[in-house]
Amino acid sequence: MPLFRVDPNGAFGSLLLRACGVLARGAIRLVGASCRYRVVDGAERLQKLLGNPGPVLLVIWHDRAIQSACYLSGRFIRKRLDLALMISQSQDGEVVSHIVSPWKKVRSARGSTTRGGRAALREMHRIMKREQIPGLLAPDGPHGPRHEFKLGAAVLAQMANAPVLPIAIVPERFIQLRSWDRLIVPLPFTRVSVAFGAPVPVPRGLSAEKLEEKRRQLEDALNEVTRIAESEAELRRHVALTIRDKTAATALREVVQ
Amino acid sequence: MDRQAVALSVIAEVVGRTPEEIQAEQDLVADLEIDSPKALQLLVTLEEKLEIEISDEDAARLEKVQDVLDFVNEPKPN
Repeated sequence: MPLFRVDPNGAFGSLLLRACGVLARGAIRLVGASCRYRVVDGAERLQKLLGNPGPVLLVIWHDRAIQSACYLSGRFIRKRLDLALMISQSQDGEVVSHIVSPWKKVRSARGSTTRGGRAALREMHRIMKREQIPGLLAPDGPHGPRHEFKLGAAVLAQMANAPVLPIAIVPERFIQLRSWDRLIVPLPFTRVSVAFGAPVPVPRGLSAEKLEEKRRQLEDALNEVTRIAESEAELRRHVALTIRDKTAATALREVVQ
Repeated sequence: MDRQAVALSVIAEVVGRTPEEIQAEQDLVADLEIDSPKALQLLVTLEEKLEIEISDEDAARLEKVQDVLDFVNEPKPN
């Protein structure tokens, strides 16, 4: 559930959502620039895939959307790289479309209000296939279930002949909302662990059973890369706490002496 | 193979049936359970195999198997 609900077609609602988009874009830039990123696994994979001819489908879990925007906006927007983004037609999607609207290299696929996700999927396929640019989506969005890789994302990769690159971006310090996806909002100046999984191809001509197997493989791959990034973030958080405790213990000893 | 036979074989392949099991009056969604992922498979495969372009407006008009067969017989220029 969104924090508030407005009519996006009304003058007030439209203005409010636009204002939210502008504020969020500013926050993403500021927080994104203040974070310290460390690629803990598969550093070469994204670069290698972007260097290859043909599109690639980047996937993140929906709860990492804000942190991913912080990281990828620096990576793609500043370097002026093309990116196709699948955005839902929900109120949250309206805010996201306002966030990305000034970024000319970002192409958003939203479909139409009457034809829903089917048209958005086709539009995303068209952009990726014709323009041969990478796509980004959250395969458990826009409404979950949380961390369930939907079949549509697997079929999009299949029909666009795009390998799927699972990405996990995990901040050490964050707040977590009570939304369906338990959205993670990174705190400024936090350290962030980034992991890229091995690219997974989705061949054409798979039977329904084989396609379901592939969908599960993609879900496992995204969960695995998330586990790797979370373990690293947890380890670094633990080390930071230990160092802080030792510093506190040393200071206490000095006071006592 | 004529264009309608190709279209029929593509529909059959996407829904996991044989072409003989597909009837012209069947509804793509209600009878053949073509959801968003299957619709993408169907439309892209038709475009590739028949070298046509199916716009979103045209795609929205394809409700029954017969609509697909009629469309591929008189496609718009690519």
